[in-house]
Amino acid sequence: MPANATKHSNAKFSRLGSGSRFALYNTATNMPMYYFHLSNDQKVPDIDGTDLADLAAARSHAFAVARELMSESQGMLDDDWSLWRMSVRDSGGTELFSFSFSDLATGNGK
Amino acid sequence: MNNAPDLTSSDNQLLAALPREALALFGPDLKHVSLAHGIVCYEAGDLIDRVYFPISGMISLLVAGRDGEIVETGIIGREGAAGLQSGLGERRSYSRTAIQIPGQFAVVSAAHFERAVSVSTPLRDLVLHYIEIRWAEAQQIAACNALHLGSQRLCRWLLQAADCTGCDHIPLTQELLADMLGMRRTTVTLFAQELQRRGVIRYTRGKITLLDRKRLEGYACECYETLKREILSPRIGI
Repeated sequence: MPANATKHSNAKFSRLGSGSRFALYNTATNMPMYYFHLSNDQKVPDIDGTDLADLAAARSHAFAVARELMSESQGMLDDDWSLWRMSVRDSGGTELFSFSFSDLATGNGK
Repeated sequence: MNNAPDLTSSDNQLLAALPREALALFGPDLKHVSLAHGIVCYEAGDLIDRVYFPISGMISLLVAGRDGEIVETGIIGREGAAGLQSGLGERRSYSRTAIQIPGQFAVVSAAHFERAVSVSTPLRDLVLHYIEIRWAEAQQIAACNALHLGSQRLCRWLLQAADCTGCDHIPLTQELLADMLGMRRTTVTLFAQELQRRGVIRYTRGKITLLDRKRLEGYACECYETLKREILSPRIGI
């Protein structure tokens, strides 16, 4: 039996090694990058950026992230949300728009 | 398929807990391999054809939704193994089981493993005990996903990943973390940046280094401690 099993396992492994790697998430698109920097008296830069279709998509992403930060943060960023701002920039560092989290809390960001 | 120079099978805690005679049943059929991120061990529904004992890497159990979104329902590192239930006979995987953090793995075919389990009481005890642990972990993770906030789960995940791989340098990207935690990529990046600003981690693209475990534990939910207790020290042959 060992002879068979070894042959089988080698075959499977070479398949694993060469062809069947699975993309767990999507990378590499042609969409522009947007950066969503946070600030109050501190700065929390978005070093990774996110590729999105256009400015409208960046706008809805920004609001969604802001709401997610406010609802998903426990003891980390939640000192006083009204003092936080988000500045959305393109890959050249030019600010496209910015808003304060207090606008979002009053529904202006929706 | 290269043998790691400085890591051995005993760096996997399940293999280390086995009596020598039980380990000897695998013989040369237990092979050391290097596996890269993204390799799928089995898809949900696949017959489990191998058992994977992580030595330095980490395996994720993933459930994919109809629209392709992925949720992580468990992680397996050097404290455990993937596919152990195949020791009780032919089994199919309930989840996509994939390499999340690359590294060394000790791997044995399910057929060999089942044969060894059938003649070794300690090995059979190990399998049964480990299935219990995974059951407990699945319940904890389900509760955690429902109860705890993203920032807490992020910290819990980082601590678990470091324990799983035995290393405080965790190679991962914001995309990966965001998928695992069900948050937007930017949210994960900003949480990570804030943790870095507080001196808890160092975050560069593609890599997170834990700098202050105690404080990271303070930001994590209690699930980290609970899971750590549950998976600790498999009781063999008692």
